[in-house]
Parts: sequence; C-alpha cells; structure tokens
Amino acid sequence: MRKLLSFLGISILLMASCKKDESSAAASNKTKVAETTTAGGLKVALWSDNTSFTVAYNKVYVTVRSAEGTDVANATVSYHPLMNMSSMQHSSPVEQPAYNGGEHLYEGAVVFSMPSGDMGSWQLRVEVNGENVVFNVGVAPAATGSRHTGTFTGTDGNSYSVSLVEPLKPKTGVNELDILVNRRQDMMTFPAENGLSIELAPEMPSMGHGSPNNINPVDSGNGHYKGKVNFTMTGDWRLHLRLKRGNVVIVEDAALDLLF
Amino acid sequence: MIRRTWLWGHAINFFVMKTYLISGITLLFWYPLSAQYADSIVDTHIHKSLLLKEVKVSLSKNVSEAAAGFRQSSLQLLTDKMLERSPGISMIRRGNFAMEPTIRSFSNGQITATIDGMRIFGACTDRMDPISSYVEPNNLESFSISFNPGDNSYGSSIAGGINFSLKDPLFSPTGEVSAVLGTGFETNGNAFQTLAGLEYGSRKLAFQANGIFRRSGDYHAGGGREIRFSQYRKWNGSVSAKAMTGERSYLKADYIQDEGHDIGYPALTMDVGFAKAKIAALSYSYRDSVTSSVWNTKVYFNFIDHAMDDTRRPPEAVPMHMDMPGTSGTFGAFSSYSFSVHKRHYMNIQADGFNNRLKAEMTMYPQNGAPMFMYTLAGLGRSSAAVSVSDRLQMNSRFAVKLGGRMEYVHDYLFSGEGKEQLSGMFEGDLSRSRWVKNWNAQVDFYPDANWNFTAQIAGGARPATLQEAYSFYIYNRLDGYDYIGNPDLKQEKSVNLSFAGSFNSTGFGVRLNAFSYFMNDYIAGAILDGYSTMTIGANGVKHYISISSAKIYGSELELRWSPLSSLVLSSSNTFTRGNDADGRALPLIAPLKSVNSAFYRLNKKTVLNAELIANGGQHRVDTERYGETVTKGSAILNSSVARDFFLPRSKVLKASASVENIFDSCYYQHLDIMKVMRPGRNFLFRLTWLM
Repeated sequence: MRKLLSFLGISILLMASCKKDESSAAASNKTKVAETTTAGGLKVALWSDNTSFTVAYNKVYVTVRSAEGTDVANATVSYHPLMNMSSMQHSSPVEQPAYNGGEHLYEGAVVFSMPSGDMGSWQLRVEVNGENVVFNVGVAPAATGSRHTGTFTGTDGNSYSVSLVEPLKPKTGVNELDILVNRRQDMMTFPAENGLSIELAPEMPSMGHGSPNNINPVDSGNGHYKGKVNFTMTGDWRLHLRLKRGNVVIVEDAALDLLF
Repeated sequence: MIRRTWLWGHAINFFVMKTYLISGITLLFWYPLSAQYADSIVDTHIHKSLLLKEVKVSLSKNVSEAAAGFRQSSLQLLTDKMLERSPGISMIRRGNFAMEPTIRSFSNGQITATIDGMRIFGACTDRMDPISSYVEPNNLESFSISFNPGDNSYGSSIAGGINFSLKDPLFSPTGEVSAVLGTGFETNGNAFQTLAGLEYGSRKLAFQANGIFRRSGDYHAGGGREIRFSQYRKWNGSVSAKAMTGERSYLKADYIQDEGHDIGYPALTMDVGFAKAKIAALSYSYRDSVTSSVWNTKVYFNFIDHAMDDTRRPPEAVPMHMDMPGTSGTFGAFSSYSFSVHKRHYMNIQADGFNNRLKAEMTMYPQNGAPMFMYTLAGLGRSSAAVSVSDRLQMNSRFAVKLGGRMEYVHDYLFSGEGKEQLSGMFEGDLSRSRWVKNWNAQVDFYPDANWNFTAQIAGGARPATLQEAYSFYIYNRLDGYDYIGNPDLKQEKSVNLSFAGSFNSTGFGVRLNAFSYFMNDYIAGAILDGYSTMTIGANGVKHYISISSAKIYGSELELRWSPLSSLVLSSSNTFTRGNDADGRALPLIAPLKSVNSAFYRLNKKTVLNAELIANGGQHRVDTERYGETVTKGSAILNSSVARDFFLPRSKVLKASASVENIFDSCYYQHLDIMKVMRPGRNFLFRLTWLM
C-alpha cells in the first residue's frame, strides 16, 4: 500500500513537473537545441528562437531546473562560446543572460562570427552556479544575401565586431534599428564598445540606390546603438555603417546585408 | 452647365433658348470638317443611334460640343484621333494608342474625364491609360468638352473636362431592328479594324450591342523609319438596354468591356501587357414635359486592371526586368434634377459622390539578387461627396445670366496596412487628408441681334491634388527623367478664370474669337528633392510635388467657317496657349499654336471630297532647367479623303471611303509628344461600312 501511495505521489510529482515544463520555455515558440545535467543535478536546456543558431547575433536562452523539475530562478548563469579550430581557439561577443520571469528562462545573446563545419566547431559553455555544462552547437552559415555580423579592422588597429540586433524581421517602411558593436580585446574577450557615433546609409546593391529618412543609430549603452532604417522595398539591402569616435573615422564601411 | 438629355429620340434641353439652339447648331460647322466627316453624307434616321450623332445643343459659349464632326462613320476612328481634332484639345502622345487629352494645355487632375458623368480613373502610374483609351466611338453618342469648372458638374476642376456620353438606344413605336458592319485597313502599320453593331427598339424596350476589334503593327514615320514598339491590339464590347417603367420614365443599364493587349509605347521604357476596363452603370430617368423637369439618377462601378510589360524590349534596353501592375476601382452615384422655376428661369441641382481605390506595385528582378517589391501607389483611396447648383436666367431677349457653384468634400486615405507601413518611411503621421473644394462660375451672354453673340465668363476653379501627386512612391516621369515622390500636404490648386468670346454667324460665314486666362494659385509642380537617391536606373534625380505660389495659362481660339458655294465649306480652327509659372518660367506641356484647316466639297449627292491641313507652330518657350523640356520645331501635314455612298436595295447603304494622311510623308513630331518620337508618315486608309 505504501508502495502504491509513493508511486502515486511520484506520478503526481512527475505530472506536475511535466505541466511546469510546458508552462516554461517550451510553451513559447522556441526550439530546444540541447539539454544536459550538471554534476550537481541541475537540468540545463538550451533554447533558440530558430531551429538552429546562425552566423549572426543570436538570442540564446537556457532553462535551469532542479532535479525535482522546478524552475531555478536565482542561479548565476553565464555564457562562454568557444570556436575550436585546428590551429587556434577564439571566443565571440556575448551578452550575459538575465532571468526572464515571464518566460521562466535566462535570456542572453551570442554573436556567432563564423559557421561551424570543416573550419572548426562551436562550443557553448554555460556556467550555472559555478558548475559548467558544455553544449556542442551547430552554427549555420548566414543565408545567401545576408550578412548580419561582420568583423572590421579599425583605423586604430583594433578589430570591431558589428552585428545587427534589429530588425530581424525587416519590413518595407520604417524599421527600428539596433546595432551591437564589440571590440576584440583578445581572442577570448569582446567587450561592448560604447561612445561611438554611427552614420547609416542603406543601399540596394542590385539597384545602386539608397533610401531617405533614416535615423543614425545612437549609443544606448552596452554596445547597442539604436536608430531607424527605412526600406523602400523588399529585396537585398546593404547597411553601410561608418563608425566614428569623435571626428575620427574608426571604420569607414562596416557593411551588413539583409534580405527580405 | 451642360445638360443634354435624349428622350424618346428627341433632344430636350431646358436650358436651351432659341438663340442657343441656333448658335449650337452652327457650332457644328466650327468643327473642322475632317476626312471622317466626309463619310457621313447619308442621314438615315433608323441608324441614327448606331452612328455617332452630332451634339445638337451647345449651352454656353465656351463649351465646344466637339462631337459635331464625330458623327456617323467616324465609328472606325480611334477616340484619340477624334479628340485630337477638337478645338482646344491637344494630345500628350506616348505611343500610337492611348494618347492623353489636354484641354487648353491643362491635363491630369486639372481637368475631369468622365463617361456619362461617371468618374473613372486610370490605373497606370505612368499615365499610359487615359480614360479615353477605354471607350470607342461606337460606345458613344457624343462627347463634350468644357473649359471651366461649373460648365459641367461632373467634378471639381481648374479647366473643365471631357465627358463621353454613352450610346442611347431609342424606343420606337414600330419595333425597328438595325445593324451596322464595318471594316477598315490602314497601310501604315498594317492596321485594321472591324466592327459590328445591332440595335432594336420597341415601344417599351430598346437595346443595342456593339463590338470592335482593332490591331496595328509598328508604324513607319515619315521617310520610312519603323517606330518599334508602336503596335497595339484591342477589343471593345458594349451593351445597353432600356426599359420603360412608366409614361415618363425609363431604366437603362450599360456595360462596356474594353481590353487592350500588347500595346507599345515607343516613348516609354515599358509597354503594356494588358489594359482592361469593365464599366457598368444603371440609370433611371424621369421626364415631365408639363413642368419641364428631368430627373436623372445613376449608380455605377468601374474597374481597371493594367499591367506594364518590358519583356518584348531588347535585353540591352532593359537594365532590369520588372513587373508593374496596377488597378483602379471606382463606384459612385449621382442624381440630378433640372426644372424651370418659371418661364425664363432654369435650375439644375445635382448631388454626386464616388469612391476610388488605386493600387500599383513594382517588382524588380535583378540578375543577381532577390526580387524587390514595393508599392508605387500604396493602396490609396479617395471618397468624395458633392452638391452643385446651376441657375440660368434669361433676362430678356438679349441678355442671359448663368450662375453655378459646386461644393465637394474630398477625403483621401490609405486602405492597406502594408501600404501604410511602406509610406511610414516617407511621410510622418496619419496620412489621411480631407478638404472642401469649391468651384463657381458666372456668365453673361449678350445677343445684340441674330448674328452676333458675346459672352463674358468668370469662374473660380479648385482641385485637390491627385492621389498620385499626394502619395506617389518613386514614380518615374519620362518627360524630365525624375523619380517623383508625392506630397500629402499639397494645398489645393486654385484658379480664377476669365474668358471673353464674340461670334458672328450667318449662313455663309461665321467667325468666333475668344480669349481666356487662368490665374492659378498653389500650382502643383515637381521640384527637385535633394539628398534622395533615385530608384529608377538612369534617372536624373528625385522630385516631389510642391505648390508653386502662382502660375498662369492664357491664350486664344479663333474659329472660322466660310461657304463660298453651297457645296463647299472651308473651316479653320486655331488654338494658342501660353503658360508661365510664378518666376516667369515657361510651364511644361504647353501646346504651341495649333491650326486645323479643312475644305469640304460635295461633288454630288453621293460623293464628298475633303482636304485638311494640320499645322503646329514650334514651341521655343521651354524651361529645360526646371521642367526638363526642350524646344520643338513647327510642323504641317496634309490629309485628304474621298467618300462615296452606295445605295443598296431596301434602304441599305454601303459607305466607302479612301483617305491619305500625311500626304507628303513628313517626318515630324509635336510638342506634347513625349521623347519626341516621330509621328506616322504617309498612311492610306480604306473603310467600308454597311448600314442594315
């Protein structure tokens, strides 16, 4: 009888945890990329907005659940991407995650600067309360005609990573524009770069024309620069971004390509 | 105020004074007697409504009821050619088909174009499909041109408009059936057309059906050079039916379908794959001869589907393939009531309204890269409601006064979410606009005696910006080579129009001279927009529409008629206009002096001969810097024709005509010809029409 009761109790617990699982990240339109368990028994799952990560600024989510299946909301979580190439290793710009109570997940971002494949493979090390889990993540190349992130050598000798945060789903007309700029301090450290000014000039390469009524992105902190971009039609668009510090041009043409 | 009502086969017009009728009929002879007129010597009553009748009355001195020469066998003519010979009208030419009429050098939104009072708007962003391209002479009873707002009540305008009156089958006490068949061939372009018509009239029912098919290859300019992409092909069918609903009233239904295919526009970078119009109307008419009142009500709908095409152009001439379809749908209604207040006082009251929706898009296909899509007209709507009143008072046998006014409320809006989003990149805030548009006119007629007539008129015109002028999205204008962006905040264009006319008519001789001027404020014109990159490959830059503080157009028309012999009529129609903007710069698309002169000789009862000289002065007053125009040389061409009627048994008639246009094969173009594409060289035309 006790056995039966405990079985029932476990079942109820399991069912409850299943419900919880549904009400968390899985309920929204995100894809679970991978899941693993830390040595301490925390279940860590990796989520993406898309079916896979691509060479771009990617929102990266993790859910952390206890062995019992309850959401852990107060963990210390950090992302550490690493590209393993035959001759070298490097990391890439990261926005460390914060807990999103509404969706029961930790929300951060990683700029994957190159695709995984013959050249090398990406690992994402996620540190949860001092414990590490490592996910091997596939990073698909950018779609043809798209270039949502790029690395540009500045006139000051630094290397800058410039990435498109918004619009990810561009439409004809005015779009909110959000650009992330990071400076490569060393192969493993890419701090957000503030204090620049950016001049924006969209262009349709197949036509050679631009568009009017754009608003240059301005520094809004944490390496983000926000402005507006006007797409007069669908098709291939190139965003020419000129990065300046004061009056000094750092990068003449950090060009990103969109296609819609 | 034009009001022409055909009821039971009779023209009844409550505004018509005896003197008016006389001068109206003589106006027929003002019309230059063209080659086509020569076809029309037989006046068979039965066929009256299958053929194009003359307009019997002209109500105000500055209205030209140009339909005079437009009678009978002009059925095979292109509407364009019919319009082109009318006083005051010049055509903007982009190809051999679908020319755009201007009235005294006013065009587009400055004038109205209506079919039986119905508003209808072209779907093409490049003005390739003026309304006149969707009607054929065999759809029409007549057309009328007015030169001032208030002369017609079909819409608000600066300079009047053109109204095409649809065929009106006649009731007949004897149950008559008549038919027409016709075919014609033209050597230049190997053009041919064939038409058929059937009409039936009984006491209670009347019906007519008409169809025409036309096709033309590329024509050759004077000297023999082929003008590529000047071909066209179209058909047009119409039916109308009338049923008596009482002693004094009837219902009428009209339907026209017009489909053009593979229409070349040598002056433009693209041709037209198809241009299709469906035009439908239901009307109710009530007439009371005791109270001299007429009540007409009409509800209507029309839809135009238009697609440009560049696939037939040589690849080197097409930097990028693109599709440019557009649609225009309009529904509306009007109701007008004419009555006599007392014996010498007539009034007309009208209420009208319409809704028009325009949508045009462009998809470009680059060699390397994704297709690019945008709206050139991003789902634009216009709704209008108006009231107009016209009042005519015959003071005494020598003086008449006419007053008219129109108030129109016009609301423009965007009806598609995608369109709104696209335009959010160009204009800020809510883009819907509303305004009141006011038109008025006052006219005094003075008849010193039966031969002389003097008219003075003052009118106040106003018009809202067209939807294209307000919301265009990079629409390329071939004339100046600029991409145009609209301006939703354009002020209304307004004008004060003055005109004076004097005429003398006797049986053998007539002369009519008038002078007119239009003083415009907030004239809508293009101005360069700096810092915008062009959309069209190879465009000179980007312009947007602005309101220029003022502009004026003025000019004069002289018409002469002389019959030295009873069998010979000589006539001459001359129009001169000039236009300046606020800075004294020459306005674009101003027709220079145009002179149409014809001699019409009746050899015998069956045969007429006609010769016609059409001369256009040069236009040296152009402003290349501001409006992108260049000078045009003068030109003159000579046309001639012979027509003969063959009377067949049972009162059937076979009408045959042979003409030659541009006898000397001149190589010429006119000032309103976009890109100065040469007009057709020598052309022999042969036409046969059977009336059964």
